Amino acid sequence: MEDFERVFTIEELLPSRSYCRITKALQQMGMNHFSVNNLEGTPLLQYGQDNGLNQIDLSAELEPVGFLRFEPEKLELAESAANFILEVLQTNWRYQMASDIHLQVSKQDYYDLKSKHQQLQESERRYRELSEHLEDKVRAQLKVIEDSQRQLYETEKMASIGQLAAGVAHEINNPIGFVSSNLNTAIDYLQELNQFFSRFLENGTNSTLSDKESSEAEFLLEDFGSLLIESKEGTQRVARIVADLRAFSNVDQSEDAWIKLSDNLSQVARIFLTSVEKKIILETNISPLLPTWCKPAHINQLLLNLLDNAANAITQQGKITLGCEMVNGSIFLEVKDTGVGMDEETKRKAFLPFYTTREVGGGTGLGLTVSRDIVLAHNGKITMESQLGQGTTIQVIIPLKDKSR
Amino acid sequence: MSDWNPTSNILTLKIVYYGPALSGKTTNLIALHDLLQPSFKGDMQILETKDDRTLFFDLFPLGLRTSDNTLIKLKIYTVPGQVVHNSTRKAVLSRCDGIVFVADSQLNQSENNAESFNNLAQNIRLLGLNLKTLPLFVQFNKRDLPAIESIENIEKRWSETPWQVQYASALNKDGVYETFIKLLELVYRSVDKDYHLMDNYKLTESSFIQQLTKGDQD
Repeated sequence: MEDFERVFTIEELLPSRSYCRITKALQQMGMNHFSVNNLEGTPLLQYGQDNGLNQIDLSAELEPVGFLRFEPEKLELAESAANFILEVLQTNWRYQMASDIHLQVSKQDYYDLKSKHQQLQESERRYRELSEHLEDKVRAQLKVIEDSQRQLYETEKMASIGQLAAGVAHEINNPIGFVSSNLNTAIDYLQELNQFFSRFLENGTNSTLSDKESSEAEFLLEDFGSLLIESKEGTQRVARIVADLRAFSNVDQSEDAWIKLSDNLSQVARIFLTSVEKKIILETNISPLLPTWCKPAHINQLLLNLLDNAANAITQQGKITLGCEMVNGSIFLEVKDTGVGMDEETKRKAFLPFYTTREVGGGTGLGLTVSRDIVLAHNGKITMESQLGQGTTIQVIIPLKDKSR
Repeated sequence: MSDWNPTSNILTLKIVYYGPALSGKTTNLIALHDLLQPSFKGDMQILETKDDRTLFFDLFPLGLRTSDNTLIKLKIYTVPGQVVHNSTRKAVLSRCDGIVFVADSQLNQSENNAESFNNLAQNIRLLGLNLKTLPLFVQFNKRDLPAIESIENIEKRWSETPWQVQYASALNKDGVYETFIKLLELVYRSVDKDYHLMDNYKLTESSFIQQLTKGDQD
C-alpha cells in the first residue's frame, strides 16, 4: 500500500507531461542553458548545454529532491524559476498525499466492510443451522420441562402423603393411648381380684366377703370387662385405619386396576376424617358405581386433594358433601363445601401451578393442578363453581373405560 | 512510531493535533508556523478543505540537524475533526510519537470534547499504541470566547488524569507556543528511550527544543 507519509521522488512530484511547458516557461523567462536533475544527477528536462552551470536545491519538504542547474550569471532568474518549479512540486505533493491517504482509507474501509460482511455471513449461517435444529432443540427442552414437571408432581404427592401421615399418626396414637392405659388399669384390677381369689383358695367355701368387699369385687369385674371391650374397639379402629392406609401405600406404583370407585370414595372419606382437626361434618351420598379401568392410587390422591381443599376453605366449622353416581354412563363425582369460596381472580388462577391462597409453607400451589391432570389423564373433565362466602363445588366427570382400550 | 532511515540519515518523528471538529487544530498549526523559527522549516501544507473544514490533514514539516549531520525531521499533522472522517483520522494517527489534544473551551462543547477524546483513546488502542506511555498534552483552546468552562472546573476534571493542560487562544497565538514546547519535552523523553538522543547524537533536551523553536543561534 502506498503510504502518504513516504518521501516522494522528484519524478513523482514533477510529472513528465509538464516538462514541455516548464521548459518553455523557463526559456521565455530568458534562460538559455538549464536542466532539472534528480538527486542522482540525471536530467528530467534539459535545454541548451550543460557547461559550467551552477545549481540550486529544489526542496518540497525539508531536504532537496532535485536540482535546478543554470548559467551562473542568471542567478536571479534561476531563483524565480526555482520558486515556480517548487510551487509545481508542492501542489503535486499535496495532491499525491491526498490521493494516497484517500486510497489507503478506502482500502481500509473496504477491508473492514468485507470482514464485517464475513461476520454477518457467519452469523447468518449459525442462525440457519439453529433454525434447522430448532425442532430437535425444542423437543429436548420439552423433555427437560416434562421431567421437572414430573418431579414436581412427585413432590406434591409426597407433600400430601406427609400431611396425611401426620393426621393418621395422631389418629392411631389416640386409641393406642387409651388401650395402653386400659391395660395398665387391668393389670392393677387383676392383682386386687387375685387377693380375693387366693383367700377363697386358702379358706375354701368358708370364706366370706364383707358387704364392702363384695361390692368392690363386683365393680372390679364389671369395669374389667368394659375395659377390655373398649380396648378391643380401639385396636379395631387402628386396624381399620391401617386397612384404609393400604390403599395409599401404593401411591407411587400407579398401575391401572379394575376397580369400583365408590369403594375408594368411602375409604378416602374415612382417612380424610382422621386427619382433620376442625369441626367438619362430612356427608357422603355414595351411589354404587360401575367398575372402571383406572389408576386407583391417582384417583385416591385426586379425592384427597379435593377434600383437603374443601377442609381448608372451612375456617371453624362447616359441612363437606361428598357424592358420586352414574350419569349417562360416566362416573360423576362432586365435592361441595360451605367454606369461604373464591373471588373472580382466585377462580381464574385456581388451576395455575404454584398459585396458592394458603400461607407460606401451607401449600405447594399444585393441588388443583395435579388433580386436573389426573382427571385429564382419565379423559375426564373437572369444573368448579364458587362464590365468595358461599362455598365451592368441584365436579368431576370420568368416562367408564374398558381394560382393552 | 518514529522512522529511522540510515541511508539518508533522517530520523522522522510525527506529532498529531487531535480534537473535536472546529476546536482550532488548523489554527494552532498556522500560528505555530508563524511563531517558530526552527533550523529547518518547511512550508505549511494545507490539503483539500470543504467550507474551511479539513478533509484530509494539514502538515507542517520542520527539523534540526545534529552535530553528526543526522536530520531529525518533525512532521506535525492535524486530523479532520468531523465524526464521519474517522478512517482518515486513524490513518493520520498511526505510528505517531506525540499528540496534542485540542479541546474546545466553550460550555456547549464539553460533550464533543469527551466524545473526541474517547475516539482518540479507541483509535490509539486499535492502532496498537499505548495511551499510558504515548506523549499526550491537552490544550483548552478558545479562552478568548465568553461562554467557556472555568479553569477551576477543567482543573478539577483533568487533575485526576495523567495529562497536563494548557490554556490557549490559537486565533490570538496565545498558549500555542507553550503547548508545543510542553509536548516537545514529553516527546524528547519518550524518543530518547528508543534512540538515545544524548548518547548517539549529543542532543540534549534543551537543544532539541531550542533548535526546533528558535533555530541554531544561541
